[in-house]
Amino acid sequence: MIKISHLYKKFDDKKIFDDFSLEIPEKKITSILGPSGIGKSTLLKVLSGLSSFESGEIIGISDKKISFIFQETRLIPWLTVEENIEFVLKSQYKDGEKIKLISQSILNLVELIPSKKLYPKELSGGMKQRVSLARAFAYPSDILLMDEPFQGLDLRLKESILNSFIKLWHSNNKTVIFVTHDIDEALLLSHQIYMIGQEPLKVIYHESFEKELSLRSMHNQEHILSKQKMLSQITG
Amino acid sequence: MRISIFQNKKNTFFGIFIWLIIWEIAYLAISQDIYLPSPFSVLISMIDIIQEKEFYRIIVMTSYRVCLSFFLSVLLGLATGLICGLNQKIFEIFEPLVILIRSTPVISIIILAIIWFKSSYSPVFTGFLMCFPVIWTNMVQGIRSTDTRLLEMCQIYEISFLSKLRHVYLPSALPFIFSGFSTALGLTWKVVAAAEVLSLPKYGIGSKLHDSKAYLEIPQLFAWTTIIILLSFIFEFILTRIFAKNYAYQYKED
Repeated sequence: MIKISHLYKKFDDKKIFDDFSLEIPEKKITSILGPSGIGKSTLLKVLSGLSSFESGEIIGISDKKISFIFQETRLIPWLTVEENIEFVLKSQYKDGEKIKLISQSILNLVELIPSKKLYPKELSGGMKQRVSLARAFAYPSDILLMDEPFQGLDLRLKESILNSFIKLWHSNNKTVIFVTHDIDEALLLSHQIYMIGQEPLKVIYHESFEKELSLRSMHNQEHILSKQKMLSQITG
Repeated sequence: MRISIFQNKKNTFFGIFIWLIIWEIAYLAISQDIYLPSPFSVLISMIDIIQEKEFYRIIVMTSYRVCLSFFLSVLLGLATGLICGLNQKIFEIFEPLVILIRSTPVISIIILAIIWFKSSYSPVFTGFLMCFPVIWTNMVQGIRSTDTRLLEMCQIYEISFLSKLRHVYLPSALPFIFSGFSTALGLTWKVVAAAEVLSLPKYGIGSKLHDSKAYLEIPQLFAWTTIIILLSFIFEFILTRIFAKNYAYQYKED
């Protein structure tokens, strides 16, 4: 369990977090749903250690390995798809054959074997995001942080990448913290959702689901009902 | 990014041809060899120079001095530039020294170098001091231009410093390094030749320039100058080819 307790952080005079608390279960996918620009990405940066905070406590993350799927893919432009994956594995493994094996099996899962020798600039936006997913899952982390990774992708592409994500998650049940402003994405992917709003950041609604993660349609009855329920919470 | 003169050969050669015609017209107008020789007499002078027994020794020695001072500038400029690009405090220690070197007139450095070193090596020292700030500045800028988002990614995935240096910092700095190399190489030729004029090593293009001035052999002065320009172009061409071949992806649009 990752516990965030009484977190306090400010930028200049603006309070981002003021007494913000949250609990995230292990080996589950938790979505943090809220409007853009409210501090969701800052929360992930604080959790990953990329950003500091003034006071409060975060338990259950400092001794764990983390992978991060950023909004922009952050692939190294002068390394091929395969080399980008192996780049992060080399920091963890010495055995070259093992590194090759892991990268090939993950590329196989995300169906990128035919593109493994291509450079990021030769890939479409969706393919780049898939490489970023593969890199995060190839890395032997316990926790995966995702910062709106599906933003800007069209519906069909999004569905295909969500599919890849679910396949990868089933192959390796990492604790996932998924930040998004898209209710559909949150409902499709999560075991629990924290809806946040206001400034400084506050949880305004929380819901857990007892469900198996599988690719569902956004037009399925259960999905539509959950969405209506959440929307009614926002509008009061 | 500097665009190599060789990239647009057709237009360049046409341009050179036009300027040669203008030169010939100017020569005919002045009609005094001592002020401005004709391109033909310069060409004849060049052929004479090339046939001289010592010609190859002279250009080899000057090229050697250029290479040595360029190599020293590269070695020290890249190493210290890397450290200064990564660490602001060390940068602040180095910056006044580099500004001092950059602001010192070349002639003062040449005179000092003549006092400190043998005539053969004072051009090397002068060339090094003139080029070091160029390489250092470009390296610092290159390292600082590294995408912080990639560095954050490296921090998350616990990438070692050496791996970061090899795969992130140096490739990011490469366009700056190349630009620095290109500027510094051209500068080294000018500075080494100038230092040779004053230090007068036994074999050196600069010594020959000095002799031409002393005996008022103006076509010869132009011929040696042309040789310096040609050698400088050849060296830059080789440098461009090495970079273009190995790091072609850097120069394509992303």
